Amino acid sequence: MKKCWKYILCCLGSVVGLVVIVFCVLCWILFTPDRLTSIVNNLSERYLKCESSFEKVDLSLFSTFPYAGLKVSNVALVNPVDGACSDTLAFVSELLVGVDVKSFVSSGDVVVKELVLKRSDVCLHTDSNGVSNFMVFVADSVDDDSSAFAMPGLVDVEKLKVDDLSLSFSNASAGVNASVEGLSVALKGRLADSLVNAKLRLEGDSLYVNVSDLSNGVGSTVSLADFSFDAESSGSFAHLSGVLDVRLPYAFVNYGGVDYTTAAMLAADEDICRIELPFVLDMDDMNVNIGKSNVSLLAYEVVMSGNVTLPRDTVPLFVDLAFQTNKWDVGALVAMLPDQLTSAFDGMDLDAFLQVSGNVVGNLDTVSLPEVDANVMLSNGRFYAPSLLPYKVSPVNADLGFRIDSLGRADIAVNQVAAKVGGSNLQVKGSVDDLLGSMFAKVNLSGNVDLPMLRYWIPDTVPLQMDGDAKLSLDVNASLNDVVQGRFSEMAVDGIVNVSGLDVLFDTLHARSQWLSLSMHMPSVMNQNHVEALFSAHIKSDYLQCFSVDSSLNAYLVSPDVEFAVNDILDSTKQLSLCCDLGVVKTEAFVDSLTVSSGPCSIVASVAFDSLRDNPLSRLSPKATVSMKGVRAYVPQIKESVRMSNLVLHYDSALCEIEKADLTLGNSDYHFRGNVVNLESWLSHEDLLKGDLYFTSNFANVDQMIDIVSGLGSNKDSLAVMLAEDNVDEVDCPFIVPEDVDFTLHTHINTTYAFGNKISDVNGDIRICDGVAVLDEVGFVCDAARMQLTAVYKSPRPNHLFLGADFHLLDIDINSLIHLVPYIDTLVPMLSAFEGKGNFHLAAETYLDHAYRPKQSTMRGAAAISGHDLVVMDNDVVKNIAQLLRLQDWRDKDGKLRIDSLDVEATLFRNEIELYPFRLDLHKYGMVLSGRHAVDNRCNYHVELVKSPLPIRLAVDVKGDLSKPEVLLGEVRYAELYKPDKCNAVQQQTLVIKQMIKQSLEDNVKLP
Amino acid sequence: MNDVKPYVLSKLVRLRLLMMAVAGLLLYGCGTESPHRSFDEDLLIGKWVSESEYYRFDFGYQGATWDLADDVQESEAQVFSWSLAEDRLLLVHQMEMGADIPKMYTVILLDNSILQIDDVYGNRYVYQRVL
Repeated sequence: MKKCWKYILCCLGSVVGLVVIVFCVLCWILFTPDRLTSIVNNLSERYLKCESSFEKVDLSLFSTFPYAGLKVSNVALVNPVDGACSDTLAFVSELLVGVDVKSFVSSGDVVVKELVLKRSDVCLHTDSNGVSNFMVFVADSVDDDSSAFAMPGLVDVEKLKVDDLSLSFSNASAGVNASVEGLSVALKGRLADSLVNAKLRLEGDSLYVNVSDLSNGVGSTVSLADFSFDAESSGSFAHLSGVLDVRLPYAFVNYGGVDYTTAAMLAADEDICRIELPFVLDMDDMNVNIGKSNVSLLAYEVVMSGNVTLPRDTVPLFVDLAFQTNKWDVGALVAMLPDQLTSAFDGMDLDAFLQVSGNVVGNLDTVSLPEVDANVMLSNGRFYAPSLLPYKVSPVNADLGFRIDSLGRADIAVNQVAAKVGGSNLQVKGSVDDLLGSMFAKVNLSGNVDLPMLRYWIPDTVPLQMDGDAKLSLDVNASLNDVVQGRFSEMAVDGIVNVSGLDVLFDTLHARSQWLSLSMHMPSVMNQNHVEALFSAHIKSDYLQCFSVDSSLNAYLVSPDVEFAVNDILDSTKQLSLCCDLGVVKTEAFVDSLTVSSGPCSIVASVAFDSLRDNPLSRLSPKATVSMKGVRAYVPQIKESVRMSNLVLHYDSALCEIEKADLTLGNSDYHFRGNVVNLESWLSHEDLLKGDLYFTSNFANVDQMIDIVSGLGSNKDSLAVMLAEDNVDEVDCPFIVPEDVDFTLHTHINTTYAFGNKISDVNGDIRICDGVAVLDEVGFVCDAARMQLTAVYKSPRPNHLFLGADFHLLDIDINSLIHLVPYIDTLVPMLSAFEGKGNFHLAAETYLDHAYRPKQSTMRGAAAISGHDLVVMDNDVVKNIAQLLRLQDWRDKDGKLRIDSLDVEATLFRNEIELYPFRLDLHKYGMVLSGRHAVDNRCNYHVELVKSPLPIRLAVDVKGDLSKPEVLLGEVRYAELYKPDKCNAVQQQTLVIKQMIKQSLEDNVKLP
Repeated sequence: MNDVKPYVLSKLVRLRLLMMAVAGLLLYGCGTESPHRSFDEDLLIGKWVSESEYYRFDFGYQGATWDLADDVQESEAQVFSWSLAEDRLLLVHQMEMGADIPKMYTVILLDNSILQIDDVYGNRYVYQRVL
């Protein structure tokens, strides 16, 4: 059986061999090169519009075995076009085509199996009119472009090879010039019907592309050398898989005159660019699956994988790719960039390691973009630019997440950014939404700040130095647009700053605190109805010390607690408004020789700035509530310490209400309450400063108060001028009453010491009104009498002060009166000789010089003294007068001299005191006394007996020095004085004058 | 007061007193007022000065006084009202505190240049008109 098959096969082989030999002989005879060359040239004229030349066409059986080969030598297509690099469109030194004879014999189809081109030159050109030199093929009569593309069935390539191809392409209208030198393409495998199983290798000596933008003259150039491209694919056309491998050892990219690759080339040890891309192409679904691919530029690698679905009909391109980079050295990358791009970084030390990973998912068409999620890791970053920031920022580590949605909106998730800036450590967490739009940030800034660093951001003109550490945590919700446009009302900021070891030096003033906490909020969390607050802050500290360099000030605040809020200060349509709530547990302050300490203190205040107002207070429109307890002050000018146990004060533009002010000075206590109005209009000189205050005291030492306030004075614009005009030194300036104030002090003092006297139940008003200080009808009770005092003090100029008093004593003990008002003994010299009670009225006034010395020429006074049942005390003068007037039996049975009534009127005019005639009735005697004496004690008195058991009238004159008067008999004058029907005109006028004096004085009495 | 020596009337004094008493009894009820001169009050109107002390008499029976020696200017003068009846000149100084201080003088001489007045105690004051 085996021999049978052997014979059969040998026979068939012999037959086939014979047929082949016959076929070859026939081909050799029938298809000679000349004949074939002639056929091809003839055929080319049918298909080509340009001049063509096929030098030699020959059959080849062995080089293309097992296929029939057609070898064409020196193929040339000539189509001269102006501007083309050559008249020859294409020149191929050798073209080898292998054709499947079997298919040709069986079905007549020419199936190309092999195609080889050797040393080819191609010159493609399109001129500025759009005429191309490669449009040389004769068009079909019917060109149906509507038919779908289909792989030609005649293509069943097993070998495709191009050796040493030089290609030049230029397009004058597009400004494109490109060339490839030494290009070799090798395809091994099979490409037939819908199946592909091939390896493709593409190599080139050089690639040059130049594109010129004719509109602006900017050109770009790409030049590659020794590049290679490898692809391997298998399967059907509908399910094609392969690997794309690109290596690029040399590249030159120039755009707009900027060289982008030279630095990279210098840094490259091997390929400048490498692409390894495995893929699976599914033409049914128009999907490309990309395996783990690597794209690298020098050491900067991107690894990616995923799917790309190509667009079909209405379905857009869909991308689903994941990518990840290796750690990129940013510093080296920046160093490789052209100088034109990195000029902004000049003078900077910039470096970091950057690693990016993420994915791109979504449709890509004209209306949507694929969504991008990326994570950026920055490590060991370093930034130092002394011109921008004098501190090194290193290290910088960041973990950022980027997301770009289908509409192009980009968001950043700041997972963490940590940086050390100088001596400070800062961390940022949060997110930034709509990065390319409104850029809304929601971040938390935390860390430790070295406060001396802040000095860099403070202008040199501000003499501020600070030391300490701040630990902060700041939450910020804001958009970039809001920040740039200053729309702070649209932002939200909440943060806490804890400062330790704070030491601030502002000019010559120090502030120190071991611990200080600041919390801030925007919008404000402070509830103040009258302030449209935007920002609020709360400052707390355990202890705050403020002191001056020269030690003139030293203040301690224990547990200060300040909360304040402010409106949008950058809103130009609004004025500044601010409110604050200050609380201090304890305060101590030393200012020069003044010492002040305070217990709990609370100030709740607000200001609303109005630049249109004309005085500082109105411009601020402050509203405040002040509460203080346990205030103690030591003032060198005051021997006793000043203590304020309570102070509660409310202030607004319309009213300053002193709810409570309790003062203690020595053993005196002072309590104030009441209102002060018009403070702002007073500062604008529009109105008087008016005050209506209630002053109460259980005990007040007036002598002490006078000692304290002596020499104190209010300031006045023209005071310096007035002092100069009056030749008064500033230190000698007396108390100047403010001219534009109207203050009333409703006074009630239970007990007081005044001028050495104990006075009780003092009631009345003290008023300072437009340059006049008035003690207005103050009534009080002392041991001796009921009293009413009105006193006036005016200060028209420093050397011309007015002091006046209207003084009424009712039911006064005369001895007490002289004790209370010693001067009365000078005014009425013999008053000390009386004992008993009477009424005393005194009005006196004088102008004073700056040292409070009376101006004698201005002294005026009037006094009226009346009494009943008085006892005349024995003394030598009385005895002498009685003896001289021969007064017998004038004493009562008890031996005392009694006066039924006394009615004395006296006046003071300049230096003279005049005692108007008054009558004394002593038992059976009546006498009239009158006279005058000067302040130098020179006297001239007259005593006249007008009633006596004796039938004669006697009178004596008392003259000389009051301390040692001379008593002489005198002329009788007043015999008819108290006899209206007999007294003369002078005597009548004397009585009228007495009545005038008395009446004018008594008219001022308000006491019941 | 202990230094004041007691007054002891000598016999001569006693005799004088007796004679005065007799004379007084004889003259009792026979007292008459001396006649008074009259002066033109218009002559008072104007400004008068004695050393640094000024008086100014105005129409309407008002006036003012000041003393330059005490650094008081005319604008700071203290006011008074005045009246002249025959030779009796009454000045009522009006205190700012509300009381009045009457001062009565007797005019001795009043002309265009001199004002001479005596008070009730016989003190004389001479002023010159300020032109």
